[in-house]
Amino acid sequence: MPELSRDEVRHLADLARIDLSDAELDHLAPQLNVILESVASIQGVAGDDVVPTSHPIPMTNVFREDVVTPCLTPEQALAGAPAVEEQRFSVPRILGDEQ
Amino acid sequence: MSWIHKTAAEQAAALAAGEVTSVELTRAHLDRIAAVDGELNAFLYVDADGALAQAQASDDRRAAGTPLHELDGVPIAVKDVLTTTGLPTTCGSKMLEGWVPPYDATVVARLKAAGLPILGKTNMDEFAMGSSTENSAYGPTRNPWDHDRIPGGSGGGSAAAVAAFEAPLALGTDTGGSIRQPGAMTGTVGVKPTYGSVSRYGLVALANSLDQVGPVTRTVLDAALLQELIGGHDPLDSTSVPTPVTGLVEAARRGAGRDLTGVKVGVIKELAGQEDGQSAWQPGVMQCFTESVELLTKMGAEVVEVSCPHFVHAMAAYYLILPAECSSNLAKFDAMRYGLRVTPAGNPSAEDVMKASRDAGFGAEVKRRIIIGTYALSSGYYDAYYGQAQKIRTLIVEDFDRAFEQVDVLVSPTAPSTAFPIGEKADDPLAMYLNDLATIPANLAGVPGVSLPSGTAPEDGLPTGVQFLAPVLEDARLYRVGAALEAALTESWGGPLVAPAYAPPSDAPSDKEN
Repeated sequence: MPELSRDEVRHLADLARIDLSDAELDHLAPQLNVILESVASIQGVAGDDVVPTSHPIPMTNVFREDVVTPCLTPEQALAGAPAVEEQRFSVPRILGDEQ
Repeated sequence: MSWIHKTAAEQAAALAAGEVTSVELTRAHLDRIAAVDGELNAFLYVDADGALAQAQASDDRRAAGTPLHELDGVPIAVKDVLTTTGLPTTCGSKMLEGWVPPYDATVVARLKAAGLPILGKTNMDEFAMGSSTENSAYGPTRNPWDHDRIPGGSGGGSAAAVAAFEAPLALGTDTGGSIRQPGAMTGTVGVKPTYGSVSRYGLVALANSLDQVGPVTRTVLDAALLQELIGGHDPLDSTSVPTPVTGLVEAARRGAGRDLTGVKVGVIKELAGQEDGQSAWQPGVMQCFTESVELLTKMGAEVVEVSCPHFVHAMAAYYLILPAECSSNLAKFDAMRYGLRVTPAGNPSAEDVMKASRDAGFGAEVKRRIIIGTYALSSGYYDAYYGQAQKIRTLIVEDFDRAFEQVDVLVSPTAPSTAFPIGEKADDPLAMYLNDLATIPANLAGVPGVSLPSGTAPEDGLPTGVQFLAPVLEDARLYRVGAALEAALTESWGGPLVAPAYAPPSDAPSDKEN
């Protein structure tokens, strides 16, 4: 089992969009390795012939009737928004400095 | 005995008989909360005015002869992971501090439709990640049995509220044991219903394929009443099973007759207290468990040992599947549409804002699990981790199938130890995860489980729990066997198990003078 380096943890945190501080990285990286080491025991337990289970009670093609039902008003949908403008979610710029 | 010390079923009967009003019941519980919750911290939000208004409406219906349900007017507490219109829903996280959802969870809507006044929202580990309620951003809940100890988790608030008579009923959610393990820690009853038999709509998802809403109560009968109320198909939840789970109250009443003739009970060999290399099962937990099993035999049950060989891998599989699902689920907390937004200095991009907000809004355990999940799902590791874990899930389902060919229900201790001191395992994730050793297999397979008090451990005087598991959709079996054992144990103790500091005042002095 490869050990996660501090840089790899930083990369994973970037992928997960969490801006970890140096102190957090120092604290979390060793803990993550302990967790990964403990779950590594599952490797080799199940043979190739075992089918994976993603859901305990499989169901397929769950549809509702195609009828219009009441839904949230724009005011309700926006009620928890950090910033609102012209009845829309207002967000920071999405392009980087270089674009 | 005061009203708060009566069971939900007794409170409902008193309402029906006109011996008490819902306003009186609700006020009594609100008074109790005001008296004890400053210390316990079981509630994150108390809606006194709302609950009293709902209680008054309930009393008006009773007066008009039109109650909505047997439990109309009996107050209830709701875990803060279920959305409630008009009441804050924080999930124990800074990320959702002050968020007031614009819709009700289906289970909350069903409580309202049945007329149960909602006392407030209960404390929990952040986004239901934890086994001690120490991961709440709003401070830990204390165990009514010992204020220096954890009440279990993630639903420690609901369990403590019921144990301390702040509410007769509460809703919890169970992803790997978050209803059952707090039940064991606080001497209360908790049921994880069959996956899909209670709607998850409006439950802020931790792991969709594992989460299930269920009752948190002091008696098996009360749990049956509540599960029948909240259960049933919901078109708003695409994983909701169409087959209704019924006959729970009837099964609990039948079980109370203490005849288990013809019932086959399997003791799970892998959860029967051997050293597993990582943690020893606490002797007092095992002693209470053995006594419970002996009582089952005395009531006519046939008890055999069954092996579920893959259960030893359940915890490892769970701690891959759960982080994988949660890292995906919690991606919705992006600081754009609702929840915390932290804007760094300068001219930050949406991504900068997202990263700063998620760093500030999530606690350590949430970050750990999101990062583990991100790792387990990343290309190159997917097959080795998530893929393998899903295969082990299949093997565990097959273990259950084989076991239930031999027996009607399975039994094990609910948790390996009694409640531990606050702080002892807070920064030791692996030690914390071991608390869920016995409860996790049920979530992986979707089967129902109940935990009920099995006594107090002689070495520390703290409550222990016993767990029954049944096949998918056979929740009624849990209630029959659970009610039988509860009746036998209560008789052997001379009354129900109650945290000493919260016990009802002793009987009226006039009785004692005679």
